[in-house]
Amino acid sequence: MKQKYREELIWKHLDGLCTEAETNHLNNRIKTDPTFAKQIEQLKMLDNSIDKTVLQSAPIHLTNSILARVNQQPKIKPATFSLIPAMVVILILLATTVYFLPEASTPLSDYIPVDWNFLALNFKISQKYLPYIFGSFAAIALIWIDYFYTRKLSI
Amino acid sequence: MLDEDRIISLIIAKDQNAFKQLIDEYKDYVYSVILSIVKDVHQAEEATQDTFMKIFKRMAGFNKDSKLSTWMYRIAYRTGLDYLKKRKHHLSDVTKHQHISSSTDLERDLHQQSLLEFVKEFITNLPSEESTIMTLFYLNQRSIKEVQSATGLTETNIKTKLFRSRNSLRLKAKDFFNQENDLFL
Repeated sequence: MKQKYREELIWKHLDGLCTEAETNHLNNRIKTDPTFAKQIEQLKMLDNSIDKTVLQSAPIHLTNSILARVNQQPKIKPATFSLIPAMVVILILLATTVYFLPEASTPLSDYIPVDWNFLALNFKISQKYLPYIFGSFAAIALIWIDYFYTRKLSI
Repeated sequence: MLDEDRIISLIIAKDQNAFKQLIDEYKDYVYSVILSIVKDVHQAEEATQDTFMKIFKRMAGFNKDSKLSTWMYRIAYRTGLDYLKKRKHHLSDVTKHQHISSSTDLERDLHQQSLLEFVKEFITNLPSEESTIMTLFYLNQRSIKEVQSATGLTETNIKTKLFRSRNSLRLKAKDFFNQENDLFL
């Protein structure tokens, strides 16, 4: 246990993490014990060797390879993905409005309450809203396709 | 020395010259971290490329809560681990073989190797996690916190593995120094 502590202390010393008291203790021992001083020197050599060894040289062509891959990226930026949830919300609001909107020509007194049985809808959507609804669906579909293929093509 | 803030802004704007500067500055560091994990130069090169591609794409997401280098090491570490997982079965066979052959080579050639070569071989033959911890520790000016931030491992775990690895190196180096007594009696 004592030896383990001593070894930890010496590595700490080599890492420059010792407190002042610990450093003084080690320095005194180094001064009075030549064997210990020699061992510390050897460990310093070992420590310096690790320092010099850990950094490996990457292949010379690495930078060019990475830049070549960057250039292969699709130039067209995908549509902003956050647009999609926003459009979905707009579409839901639009659909809800259309769903509850009575025909303009229908007098309020003749208004038929909504049948919640969705298998037997008894209302019709005004023709003038149809282009907007289909347009919204088409826009969402196009953004999805754009996003999907941009991701698929990207490296 | 890079002006990191400027480089980051330029890379977010997809400036390739700025990205080239970043690669030139950090490629050896990123490559070293990945090599310590995958232990194969070809895979390390491929994973380094992938890491820089991720850095290029994700630079806008770098929120400066850590140093740029630490953030890059984190991506490198995860990319390296992904590569390691992909070839897990293959690696187990290769590593076993390498370990057996290298340990016999190590003893036979110990006195013929320079100290640097000896240390390099020792680190290469350490298990991935230990060699990565040692690599990151020395690359980050011996900061445990930086290693922790890059790997997500606990401080105690890092300290224990670092101590064991260096102690094991010390014991093997005893032969190198041609000593009969242990270092640290």
